[in-house]
Amino acid sequence: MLRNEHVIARLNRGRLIPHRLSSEDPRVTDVAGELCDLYAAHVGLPRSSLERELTVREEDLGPGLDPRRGFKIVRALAKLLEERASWAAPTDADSYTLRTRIFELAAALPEPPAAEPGLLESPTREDVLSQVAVETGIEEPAALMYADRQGAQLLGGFDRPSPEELIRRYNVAQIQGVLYSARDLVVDLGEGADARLVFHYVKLLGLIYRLEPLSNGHRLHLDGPLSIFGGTRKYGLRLAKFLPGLLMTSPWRLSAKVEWKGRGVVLELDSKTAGLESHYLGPKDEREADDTREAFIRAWERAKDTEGWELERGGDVLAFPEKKAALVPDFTLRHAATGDVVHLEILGFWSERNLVERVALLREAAEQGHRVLVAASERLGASQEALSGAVDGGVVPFKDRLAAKAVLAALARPI
Amino acid sequence: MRKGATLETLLRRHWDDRVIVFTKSVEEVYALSRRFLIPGVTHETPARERKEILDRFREGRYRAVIASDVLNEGIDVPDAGVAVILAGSASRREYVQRLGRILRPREGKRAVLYELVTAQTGEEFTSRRRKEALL
Repeated sequence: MLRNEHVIARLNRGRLIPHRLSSEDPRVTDVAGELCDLYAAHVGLPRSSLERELTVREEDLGPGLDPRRGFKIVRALAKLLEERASWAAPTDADSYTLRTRIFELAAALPEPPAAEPGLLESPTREDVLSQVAVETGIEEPAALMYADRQGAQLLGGFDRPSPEELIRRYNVAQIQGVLYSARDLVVDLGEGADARLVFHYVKLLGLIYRLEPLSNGHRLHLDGPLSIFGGTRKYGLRLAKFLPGLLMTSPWRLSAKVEWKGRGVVLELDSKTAGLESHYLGPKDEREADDTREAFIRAWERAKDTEGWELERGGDVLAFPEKKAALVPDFTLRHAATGDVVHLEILGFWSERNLVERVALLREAAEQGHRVLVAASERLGASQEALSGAVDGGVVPFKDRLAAKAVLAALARPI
Repeated sequence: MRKGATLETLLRRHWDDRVIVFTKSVEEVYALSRRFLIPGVTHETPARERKEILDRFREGRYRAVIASDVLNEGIDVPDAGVAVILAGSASRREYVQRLGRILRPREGKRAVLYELVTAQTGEEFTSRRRKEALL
């Protein structure tokens, strides 16, 4: 992901066009390749020297790409490579303890430790260091005195992309950067699109959504970070992370209202012409697994007595066309004896408006004979009062993890 | 590094007088700390360790400290008998402030300030201007 300072876009009649690089352009692939080489050659070396090299490259390579913004483009590409790098402490030794011992010993000397041994047998720097070496078993204590500085970290591994891969990632990342300051985002998913996959990412990222069934697909409304109160940076990152998820399927059209240099502008994309490629591997990849829901499944399995209720994964859309609304429950609870069915959805972030709408939808669902429970975390919403007000409407509040007990209690409440 | 050799002479002369060495450059703090085995304090130093170093300096357990500009403001700087400024580009205000806050002579002692300037460079001019600020 890029930082705000790396994001480049231009306006064309109120439409925002994020910056793109072309992998057809040899100047671009050369720069991308050179940066990959730089990182790869630095494995085993400290961060400070890589940072120095990168500053040099910004000045050398930047102007060839773009006279004005070249340095920024190089910096952005390096930022994306940073995500593929892993850093390691250069030593297991505790540098703090090491240097503190060195300073104590040196300060106890009657005169400053001399750099060179003199005629008068005055204490030397080497004396102090070899005493510490003996005490700690570290051969070169001076070299490791400040090994805990960030700049001293060593590049432990680098998952090298091809230049084209890096450029593809850049083009997506620039759009993601624009979404950090989105007011809202509307995605029309066509009939052929893998809606389940899209909902997986909506839920994994905890986005505030509203779903509208269309005659030929779904319209997904997502709140942007600028339309929710507090925690906007975190939410903005989450919304941006949705985009590569969406890119894994088609067809779709996306339109987002974003704030750009103090102006409200529009970003539009569609799967046919976007020419973008996701770097995600899909829900099967463990880094993209949904911890909140997996944790609830485990909590349910651990529960001693589930009073005859059995938990199944959900994921099918529950549509209310008259209300122009739909829900995507995460689970279905089925009672073994009575055959009763109750749907359960776990919300991610929520806003007051979103919660009120959800309660109204639950009421509508109940009138049509569907019983739905919605669980919402106290930590991910705007106001405690809004949440307690919604409990009567079928909302199950929780703190960090949703407990099986809380859901069973809600199931036992009369409808 | 001639400044390093001069600093060594000064540390030798004032090993019992509690010396604070200032430099503009963070990297120089670490280099000198390694060379003279005296604690360094920069913006990277964790708050707890910084407090510990300054406390020990105050108690006399450490004889000298080398610091970058972090000690300028907002930190309780212990009194020192000797300050050494490795020429940088400190402003007049910073300069006066450093002196006023650090050099508090103990009874019967004189407080001393050294400024190490490389001859025939812009440093000479900066140094002269700073001294004018004190007049």
